[in-house]
Amino acid sequence: MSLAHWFIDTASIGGLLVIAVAGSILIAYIRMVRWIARAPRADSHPAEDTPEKTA
Amino acid sequence: MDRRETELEHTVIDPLRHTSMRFWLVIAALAAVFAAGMAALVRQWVLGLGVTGMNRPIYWGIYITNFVFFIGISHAGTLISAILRVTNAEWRRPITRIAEAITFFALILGAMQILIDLGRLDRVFNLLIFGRFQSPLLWDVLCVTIYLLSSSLYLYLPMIPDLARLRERMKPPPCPHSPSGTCGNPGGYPAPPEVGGLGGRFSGQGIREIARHWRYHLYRIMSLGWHGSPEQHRRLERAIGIMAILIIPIAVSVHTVVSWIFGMSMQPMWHSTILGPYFVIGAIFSGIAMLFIFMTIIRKAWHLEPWIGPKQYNYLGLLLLVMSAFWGYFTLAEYLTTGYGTLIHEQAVLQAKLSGEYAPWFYTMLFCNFVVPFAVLLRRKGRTPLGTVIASTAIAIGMWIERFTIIVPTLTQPSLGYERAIYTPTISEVAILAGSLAFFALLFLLFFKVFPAMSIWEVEEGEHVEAVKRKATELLREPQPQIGGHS
Repeated sequence: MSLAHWFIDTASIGGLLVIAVAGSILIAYIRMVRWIARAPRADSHPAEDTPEKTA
Repeated sequence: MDRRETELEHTVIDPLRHTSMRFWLVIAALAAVFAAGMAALVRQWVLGLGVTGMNRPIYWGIYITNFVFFIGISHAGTLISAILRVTNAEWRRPITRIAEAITFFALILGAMQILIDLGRLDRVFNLLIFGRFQSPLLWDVLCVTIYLLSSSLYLYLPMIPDLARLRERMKPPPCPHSPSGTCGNPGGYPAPPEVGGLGGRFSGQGIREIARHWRYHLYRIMSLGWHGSPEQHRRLERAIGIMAILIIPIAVSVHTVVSWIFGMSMQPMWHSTILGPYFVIGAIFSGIAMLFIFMTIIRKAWHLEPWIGPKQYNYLGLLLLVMSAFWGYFTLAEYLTTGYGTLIHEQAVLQAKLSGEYAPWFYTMLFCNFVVPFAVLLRRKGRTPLGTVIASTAIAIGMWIERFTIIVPTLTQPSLGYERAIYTPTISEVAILAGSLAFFALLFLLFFKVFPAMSIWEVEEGEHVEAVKRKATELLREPQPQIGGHS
């Protein structure tokens, strides 16, 4: 309980939390954009490929 | 690849290529108002907040009213666009880009109001250095920052395929003296070294070439090498879907937290549990109104009438009417409860609004937010571009007054041992208000001179969906062959 109180009642902890959360979200969004940009040109879905029939 | 422009492409891209003198006159007028606002702001920075009408105990005036108003209209876009996207409303396609741009610029203007209200720019760092997380002010900083980041991405993601299309359409013309045959970047992205590579780009000729074809280079960089493979489309649509779902709770949290800045204090008529949902409803209400105003301006000036038509005006008009009813219900609930409570300090604020010095503001607000929308939008004939713009302008004015009558009357009737006070906005505050509104319109119009006002690929997708539906209906109407009948 005292830790929680310290967390919400200490100067600059709030500012650090804002920077940490906003920074994490910014990084996640940049990664999302990079994931789109790096999509392969050819349509490849290895998981959806039909397995070859074996004898 | 077919290099011819479709009618849709031509209509959307043409305003980016050609600009009329009338447009520049509008920009000049808005820039003049913005410059007047900036002059007032610089004067305030030099002389201090004493140039405003704010004084003890009225610490918040027009600037915080503007902040709540702009944060409210930021719900136009992202929330409405996201809800319509998640519910798969096909008629949303031509208007989502406009709605998302409103959100982005309204948030920037909203955040700017805080900087203006602080009096000095360096004071913003005090929020981070001395901020404690028990303060709703810090929750607000967090929510607005997350909303700004999310709505920027939500505006940008659906633009990527359109930016790639613009990259192709605005490619520099062929140049016979170049070894590659083009003056600009011939191959799209990435640029070959002999023409647009690092060596050539930072030479005088390279810089001149970039300046001459700045649009092409901007679209090339922003389109992230989009090639439009099925996998890339799948990833984009997945990302847009994730953002559309994420943005709804983020948007709701933003305006709820804005209300908690007031609601967490023990001030009369602020300390109320209804304030959160009341603010959210008001935000969506004013957001749709602002969407109507800017949608109609862009529709007329950019000639988008074939795509933004009766369907959008009718459905969105009905939504605005429903929001007006909700707003009326919340207002009644708030004022009736306060009136029956007979708490001394709350009665003083209530009387100031109902029959005191703020009564003209209060009744103008009711007229603008409730009477005008119902009078205009209730009938189908009223849900036209003209009707909706009349109703929306009234709502925009009414909602600004609503924010003002929430903030100021409470502060002029303090419950602590202060004398009653009077707040009269000064010319500085009015100039900054006018400058802020002009800056908002300026950013919005200039943005759509560089980027397409309508999501071309999404509208095309919608046309394909519509064509398939029509074909399916026709097939169902045709007489079906009998299965298993006599041969």
